[in-house]
Amino acid sequence: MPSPLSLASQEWVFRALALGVGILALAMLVFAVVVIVLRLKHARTARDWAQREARWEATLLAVLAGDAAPQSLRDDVRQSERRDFIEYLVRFARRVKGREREQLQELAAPFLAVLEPDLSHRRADRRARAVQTLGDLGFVRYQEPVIAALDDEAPLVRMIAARALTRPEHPDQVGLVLEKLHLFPTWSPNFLAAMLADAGMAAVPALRAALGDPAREAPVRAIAATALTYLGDLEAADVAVTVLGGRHDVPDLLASSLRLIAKLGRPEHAAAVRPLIDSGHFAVRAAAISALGAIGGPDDLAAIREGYDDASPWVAMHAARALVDAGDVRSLEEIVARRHSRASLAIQVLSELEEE
Amino acid sequence: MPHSSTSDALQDHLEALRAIHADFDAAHDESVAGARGLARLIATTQATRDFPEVRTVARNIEHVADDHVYGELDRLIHVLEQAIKLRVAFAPARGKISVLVAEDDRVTSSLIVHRLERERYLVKHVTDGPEAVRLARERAFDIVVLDVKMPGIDGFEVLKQLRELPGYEQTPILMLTALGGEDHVVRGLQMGANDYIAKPFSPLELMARIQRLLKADGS
Repeated sequence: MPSPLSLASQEWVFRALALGVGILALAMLVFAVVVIVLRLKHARTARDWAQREARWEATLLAVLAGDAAPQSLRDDVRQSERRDFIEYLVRFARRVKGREREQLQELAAPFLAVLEPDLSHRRADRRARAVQTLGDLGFVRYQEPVIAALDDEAPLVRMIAARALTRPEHPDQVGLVLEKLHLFPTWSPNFLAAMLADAGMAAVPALRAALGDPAREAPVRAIAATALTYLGDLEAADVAVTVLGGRHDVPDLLASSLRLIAKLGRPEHAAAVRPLIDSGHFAVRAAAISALGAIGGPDDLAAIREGYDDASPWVAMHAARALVDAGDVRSLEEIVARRHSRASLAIQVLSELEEE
Repeated sequence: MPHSSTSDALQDHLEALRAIHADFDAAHDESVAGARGLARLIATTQATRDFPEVRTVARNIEHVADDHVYGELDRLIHVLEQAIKLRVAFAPARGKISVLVAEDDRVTSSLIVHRLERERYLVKHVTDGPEAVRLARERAFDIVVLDVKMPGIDGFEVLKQLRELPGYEQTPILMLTALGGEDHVVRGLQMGANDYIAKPFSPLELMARIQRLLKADGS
């Protein structure tokens, strides 16, 4: 028979367990209620958003097509809907250019002040969002805070500001972004070059000036060279040639300039390229060989063929493709025929050629 | 008797086909010849001009073995029924220029479709590649506006498949691309696109290009 003490102890344990189960059940109930409330709230937000969209869309499309006055749409925006309306316009603004974009900016103008406090919000994502939206829809009025955001403490905000400043509508700001490129050390140079090229051909003078300026940091000049390559600026090849005769201790700058010459250069640029096939850096040798394949003459074929035997496989690959560019497919076929140690590379390049 | 409309002509062909199908006997030369003769007529008649798939199936009957003619008649009846349904659906807009817009982005497509409808084009909008190809197979469009990046199959693949469809060899196709790189533009043009427009785009410019393409095409 169990002792009274033991029975009391068991009862206490039972009560504790029951209490624990009760608390857990209550917590689950509260959790379930919270989930349901959040879900309902989310569904309601989505429904409200869809309703607003449906209400605004027909009028917006009519305004953009010139069939309705902008004010007719503005009148349909309640005080509490100003942020949503701006958000809605942004979605269209990012997809159009020209007159329609200007119309969207005009539509947004009376509402943009609502975002001003966000420019100094403690959360970086809110600041970034405000910079992006004001850059998209109100650049003329808000260019000062957008430019100031280039020096924001958060990398995200700085990048959003740089993107807002490299748009085709205001290419004159590209110089400003070039000045601040050192603030983006972790971003890929190709990405930064593509961002600068987004500003379009009107940004070419600033990019050429940066490439040709020996006082500039080499990484900035290299990015400018890549951006000019993306833009297909033929005259930039003349500037790139001057780079080749300058500092030889910055392989990235030399390689970017050589890639520019390979794509946009002319035969008279080949003389400046030739010395670089003996560069101590493999990326420079590879780019020089590619450039010679593109703009060199028959006298350069021997040097390109030698590149196939370079210690660096990267250089060898560029040499193989340069032979194709120079029209010397026969050399590659010979490499295959005599079972060169890198015959597989020649086979690969020849098969790519056949696929084309 | 002259047909009062294309739809009536298609209906007449369908009824004639059903009659031949009901009495078809592959062992009788006359039965096979009758089916092939009607199929030839359907493949060449003006009434099926806008329905490349009908014409393809009808032409096929000429080339299959006698014992496969019955199955092909079945198929022809099916595609002809689909064509009649489509013809009815498009009937109110007859005479208008038809545009197939393949674009998965809702905002972009609303901008394009609104502009086109405002100019009284007959617009069919789809949001993925396979649907664009399926619709183009069912009926001929006067012009196609094709986004490069779409779910299912991309715009380049749709372009390739459209160009292989009978009746689409010369149809103006305008590519819309967010990929501004010249490689994509060159690829599209090499694959048979007539023009391209890069996003972000100007709806006004898009309309001008569509009108220019249609003018060049004589639509």
